[in-house]
Amino acid sequence: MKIEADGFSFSFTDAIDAFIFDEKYKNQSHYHGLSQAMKAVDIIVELENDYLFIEVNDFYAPDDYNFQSAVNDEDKKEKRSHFNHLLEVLKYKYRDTWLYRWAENKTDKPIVYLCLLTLDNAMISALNNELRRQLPIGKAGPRWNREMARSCIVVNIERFHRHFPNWQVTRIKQDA
Amino acid sequence: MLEKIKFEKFTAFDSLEIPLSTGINIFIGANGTGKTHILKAIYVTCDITTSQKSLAEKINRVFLPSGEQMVRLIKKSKTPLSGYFEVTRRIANKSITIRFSLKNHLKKPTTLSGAYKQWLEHSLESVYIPVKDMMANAPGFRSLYNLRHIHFEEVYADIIDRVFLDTLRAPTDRKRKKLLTILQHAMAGKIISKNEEFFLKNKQGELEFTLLAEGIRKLGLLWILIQNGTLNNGAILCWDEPETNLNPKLMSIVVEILLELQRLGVQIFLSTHDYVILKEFDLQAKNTDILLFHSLYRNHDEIEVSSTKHYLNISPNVIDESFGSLVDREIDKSMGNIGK
Repeated sequence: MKIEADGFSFSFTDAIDAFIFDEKYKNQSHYHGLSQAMKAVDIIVELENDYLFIEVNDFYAPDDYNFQSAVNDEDKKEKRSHFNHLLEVLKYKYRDTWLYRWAENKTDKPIVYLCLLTLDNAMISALNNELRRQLPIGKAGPRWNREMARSCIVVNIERFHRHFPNWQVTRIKQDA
Repeated sequence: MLEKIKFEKFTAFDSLEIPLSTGINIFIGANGTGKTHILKAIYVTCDITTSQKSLAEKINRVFLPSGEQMVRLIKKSKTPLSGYFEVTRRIANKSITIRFSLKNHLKKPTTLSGAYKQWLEHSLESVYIPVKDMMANAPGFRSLYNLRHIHFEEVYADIIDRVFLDTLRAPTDRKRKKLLTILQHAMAGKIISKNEEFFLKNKQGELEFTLLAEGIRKLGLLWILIQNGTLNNGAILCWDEPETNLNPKLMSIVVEILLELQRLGVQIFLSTHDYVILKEFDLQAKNTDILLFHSLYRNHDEIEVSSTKHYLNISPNVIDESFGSLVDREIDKSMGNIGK
C-alpha cells in the first residue's frame, strides 16, 4: 500500500489500510473536515494488531532545534524554544488525532506514534525521551485504566530503513 | 606546517596514511583506533625541533613501551620484524619528510632517515595537552620527573614546562588580547603562579588550582599558553580529548578559542569522543576556516581512515552512531516486531 506525505513516499506491505489523515479534499473518502479546529498527524496506517499514527517532518535547518549544541546562553534559549515548540506540535497532533479517531470509534487497537524527522541521532534520542514523557505513553495517569498511546518513537530515515524492513520510505525527487 | 603522517606496522596501525589540514584536524574513532598515538607521533616530531632531544629517546619517553623496549612499538603480529612512521612538513615551499624506523632483529633497533638535519634546523613550537590536568600537580612535579625515573608519559612533564615558559617579550597583540579576554571572562579571573603553584586571581582574591573545577583549569591552561606566546603563529597544538571534565557551555568557548588560534596560524590536532565538540565546530566554523575531520575505524581488524572537510560527510561517525545505537535500542523496546 503506497502513500505520499511531506516529500516522502511510503509503502506498507503488511497494512490493511493506509491513508492521509489530514485529507483536505472533500471528494476523498478520508476527508478530515476539522482542520480548522484540530491538529492532525500526516498518515494513519491500520495493521492487523495496531494502528500507526505517522508524522513526517523534513527540516530545512535541523540545527535550529539542536539546543545541545548551542554556542551561548541566548542561542541555547532560542534553540530550546524551537525544540519545545516542536515537542508541543508533535504532542498535540497526536492528541487531536486520537480524539478524532475516538469520535470515529476507531481506537479499537493499540496505537503507536511514529515520527519520521530529518534530524541526527543525538537529537532523535533527546526527542524520544521527552515526547514519550509528555504524550504520555502507556497507562500514565494513576487512575487510568486505558492507554492513549501504546508507544511512541522518533526516527530518522536511516533508522526507519534499519528497523522496518516491511515498510519502505523514499524521498520524492523535487523538480528543479 | 605538517602535511602528512604515515604509519607502517607501528603501534596499532598496519598501514595508514593521513593527509593533514593546515588548520584544525579532528580525529574521531572508537577506543583502540589509535587517535592518541597519532597525536603523540605528531608531537614528538615537532618537540625535537625545539628540545633538540633525539627522536628515539623522545618516542621512548612519550609512548613509554614496557622496559623501554622500543621494538614493542612495532605492531603486534606473527612476524613483527619492522615498522615505521614518517611525517612530512612544508618548509619554504618545499616538502620534507623524516622517517623513524624500528627493526626487531638489529642490535640498534631504531633508525632515522629522510631530511632530518633540515627538519631540526627549522624549529616548530609545539604543545601536547594530555587528558589529565597537570596544572594542579605542577609544584615539585618537574624536579621529581627530572631527578627520578618515574613512570609517567613525558607529555605530562612537557606541558608543565610549557606553562612555565616566560611571558613573550613582545607586547600581546590585539588578537591574542581578545582571546585572553574571552577566557578571563569565562574563568572570572586571570592566572598567576607563585613558586610553581597556580592561582586564579580576581577581585575576591587568589584561589589555588587544586580548589578549581577541572574545566576551569583547562581554560586557565589555554590562557597561559596564549599569554606566554607558546600558541603563536606557526605553532602546533595537539590536544587529547579536550572535552574531558569540560561542561558543554565551556566547550563552546574552547571551540571559539581553537578556531581563533587556527585563524592566527596555529595548526591544531584534536582527538575527541564528544558530540558537542563536533557540533560546535560545525556550527561555529566560517567558510574561510580550515577544518579536516578524520574518522578512524576498523576494517577487518586493520585501522583505516576517512577524512572530510564537512561535518555531515563524516563516515563512519562513531559519535553519532553511539546515539544511533541508543535510538536502536529504544526502537526495539518500543516497537517490538511491528514493521518487521
